[in-house]
Amino acid sequence: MCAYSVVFAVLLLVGGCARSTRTPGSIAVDAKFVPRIARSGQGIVAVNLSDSAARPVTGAHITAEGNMSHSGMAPVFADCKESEPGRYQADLDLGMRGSWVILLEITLANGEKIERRMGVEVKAD
Amino acid sequence: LRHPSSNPGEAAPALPFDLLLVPVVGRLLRWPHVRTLVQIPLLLLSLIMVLHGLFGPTLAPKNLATTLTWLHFRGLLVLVLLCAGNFFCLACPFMLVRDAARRFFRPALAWPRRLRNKWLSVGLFILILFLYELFDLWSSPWWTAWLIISYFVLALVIDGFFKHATFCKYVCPIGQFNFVASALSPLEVKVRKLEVCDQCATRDCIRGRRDPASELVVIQRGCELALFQPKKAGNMDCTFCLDCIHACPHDNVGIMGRLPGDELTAPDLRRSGIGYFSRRPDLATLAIVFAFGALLNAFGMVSPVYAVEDWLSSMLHVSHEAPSLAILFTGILVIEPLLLLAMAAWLSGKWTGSRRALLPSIMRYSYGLVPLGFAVWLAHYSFHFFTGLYTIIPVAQNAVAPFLGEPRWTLTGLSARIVQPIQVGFLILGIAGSLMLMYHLAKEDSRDHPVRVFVPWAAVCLLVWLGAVWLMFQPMEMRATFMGG
Repeated sequence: MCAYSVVFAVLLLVGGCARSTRTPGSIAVDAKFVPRIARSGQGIVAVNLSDSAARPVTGAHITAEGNMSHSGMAPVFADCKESEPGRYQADLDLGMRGSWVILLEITLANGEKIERRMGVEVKAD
Repeated sequence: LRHPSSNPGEAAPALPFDLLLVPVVGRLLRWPHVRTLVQIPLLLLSLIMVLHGLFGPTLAPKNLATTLTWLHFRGLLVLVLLCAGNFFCLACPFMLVRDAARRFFRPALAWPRRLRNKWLSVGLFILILFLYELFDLWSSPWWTAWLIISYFVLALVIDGFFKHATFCKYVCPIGQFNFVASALSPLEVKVRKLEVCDQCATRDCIRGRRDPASELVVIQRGCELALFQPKKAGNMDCTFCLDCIHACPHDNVGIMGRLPGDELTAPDLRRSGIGYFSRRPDLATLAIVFAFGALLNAFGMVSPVYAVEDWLSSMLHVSHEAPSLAILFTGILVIEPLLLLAMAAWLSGKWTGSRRALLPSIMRYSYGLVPLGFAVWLAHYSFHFFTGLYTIIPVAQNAVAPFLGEPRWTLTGLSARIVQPIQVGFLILGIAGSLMLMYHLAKEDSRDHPVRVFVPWAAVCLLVWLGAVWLMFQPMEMRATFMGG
């Protein structure tokens, strides 16, 4: 039992990846949380934006906000940077083990706003 | 503080602290409408929580229903019980709605005799704990709102059909929690001078004050929970509704100071509205569920519980959480207490040559676990309360945006490093209280060999305490698979 309290690893579960979804404006949002360092909640929020012709959507502003499922915990915020055309990412430290919900607030270059939500489980190994 | 009945110039007898004699507060509490005054804000708050829970943000940390219920209400509840008394039952908004409804519908039925005990409420208490874990209620504003609505509906239905305070006395799980925990409160509603009651012919404290013109018209309700003040002992079943205080024509009921836990060491006398503690297995079960439920509820928030559940699920070859959770509940709420308490009862009986059967012994000593159980609830709930103390500010800002400005989501509360010593303090107080109680009971049972009786029960307390300390130092892992709304 003690091992469970000492050794932890971040496991990216199914909920950690948001499916590629298409918005009414035909913008596909493909978002996921990729663990970067084991035994903590540090990871990268990676978001791919593409239009109906599968062309990357550039110039968007994306804010990621991580909240725990329980009230009383401070949320964590990060602004995503565009690393390649249509590919955005940000470091996010989900400090506590448990269920996290990452809210993505996407503002496209034309001002259109899109919101996405994905669940991440940071749990004991 | 001078007793109101003492004559000027005459040396007043030494009286315990009486909250009703404190300036301003005492006057306010004597005001007949004080209960309504404190119920109205809580009713409005409940309405806001329900509306926000149903129609507000679906994320728990951003919703008033979840934030207020699972952080602030629970935290304040245990702290007020520790520092004062059962004032949350006094302010209960369910009763305001019930009283309003009773102006139109008068209940005519008496609660069935078979149900005049705590078994139903113990079952509901366990059910709430189970649903809390199964549906991760803390993470769902929608389900939290429905839980609040359910309480209102249940209180209305039960007290709509059945007379007196049936819901409070026999059904409400929160009420039962408060009744047990308030055994450790420093305040108690009790008579000031028993000799005044000896002279009383009207017994308004229980019958209610009648209209002088018509005996049938009650102008001030007496105790709805059947607690006759001169025979009442302790806070069990007392909702601090203050009806007896307002009804007493001799101004002989006060909110008196006392030694917390005193009622658990009192001789086993017949208590009004309750009877003998030693003949109430339902009350003893409530005390046991209260104590071990505290461990269970805290256990549900740490990593190992998920490992245990996963292991049970793989053993049972089931994917749903309910069966493994049911086994966990049975283990912690039934098997573990049964084994530990039966072992302690057997050992203490064997070492002293006592002929007392196991069950009466378990019932008697189960009350000794109450301080420890309360300490675990305190440590758990105060952690959430203090570490999330200020979160109500951004959540409220967000709820009424833009009137209170941009929400400051970074506001949380005290650091866990500050709160942990407070938790440890509660746990130390809890084990000290339980050990003192156990020793007191042991001394009563065996004047010659109290230590022989005490040691097995002390071992149970220490085991539970060590389990609680281990739990409190586990890293929290708040998992939620159920995102309602």
